[in-house]
Amino acid sequence: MLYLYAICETGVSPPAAVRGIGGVPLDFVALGPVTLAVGRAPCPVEADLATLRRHQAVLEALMTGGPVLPFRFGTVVPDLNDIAAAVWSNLAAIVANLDDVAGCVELGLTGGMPRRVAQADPAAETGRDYLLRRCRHDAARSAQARLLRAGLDRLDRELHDLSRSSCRLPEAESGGLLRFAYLVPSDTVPEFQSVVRRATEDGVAPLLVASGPWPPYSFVRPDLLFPPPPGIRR
Amino acid sequence: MTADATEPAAAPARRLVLAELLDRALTKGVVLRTDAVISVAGIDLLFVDIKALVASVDTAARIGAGPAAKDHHAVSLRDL
Repeated sequence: MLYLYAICETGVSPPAAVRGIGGVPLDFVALGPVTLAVGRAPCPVEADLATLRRHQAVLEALMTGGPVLPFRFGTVVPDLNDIAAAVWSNLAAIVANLDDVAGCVELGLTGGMPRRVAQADPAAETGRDYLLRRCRHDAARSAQARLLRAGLDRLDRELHDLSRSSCRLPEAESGGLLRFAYLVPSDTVPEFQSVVRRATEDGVAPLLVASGPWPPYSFVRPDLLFPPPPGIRR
Repeated sequence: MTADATEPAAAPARRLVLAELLDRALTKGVVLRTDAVISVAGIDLLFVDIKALVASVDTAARIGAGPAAKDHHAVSLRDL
């Protein structure tokens, strides 16, 4: 089986001595202007943190040589022909997407409030008292959430201005955390981090975490290899 | 008497970063949709409940036990 790591630009020097999952050396398959970074993989691929780290380490090494479009973790194909045909038929979109992300890394921002749950103490208050207190608690929390969202929106706009592109990711299931992804030119990363650090010091949100740099996972065009049929809007 | 169950503010940073990586690596990136096999541990990822994987971040973090991130304003996978 072939494990697929990323689509890169052809002509960029691959990092020396980088090893893929299972300690296997990478292979680079040129398909015109783009090159696939692949590796022989054990089957099935182990879904553990060590494998994820190796996948990530390969992508980070590839990113040092030029723009990459990362494959989703765990993508394997039985044969190179399975992927080569898809690449050839979508070459223009792939090249354009590589241009989109060239010189940039993805940074993430997650902000929100830690969970707080008001709990009843039956020995200390009646049910009515508890419900009244719960209403006050929920109202105060809603007001706080509105303020927090406004603060995060302002921060998002500031960070967007430092980025080539940005998007809001689906909120985390638990806790309603707001999540953003930014495609940031590499030389702007320190400024981005400094804006987040200042926002943290200003108390924009009780919980504010910047993550990355990541490969530009969130900026791979949807349906890159398999565009929707004519008449279907993306 | 009020009892608040509050998740410690500093502790989630490491878990959040790992969750961020899991979310990106498992739900984003270039996708194949033909008859190509997309699997981890023999399970087709298209049918894996991503939320279940993210919910197991605690376990994953324990497996990869490393030094706690000192600066949670900017945490990378290397800190985990």
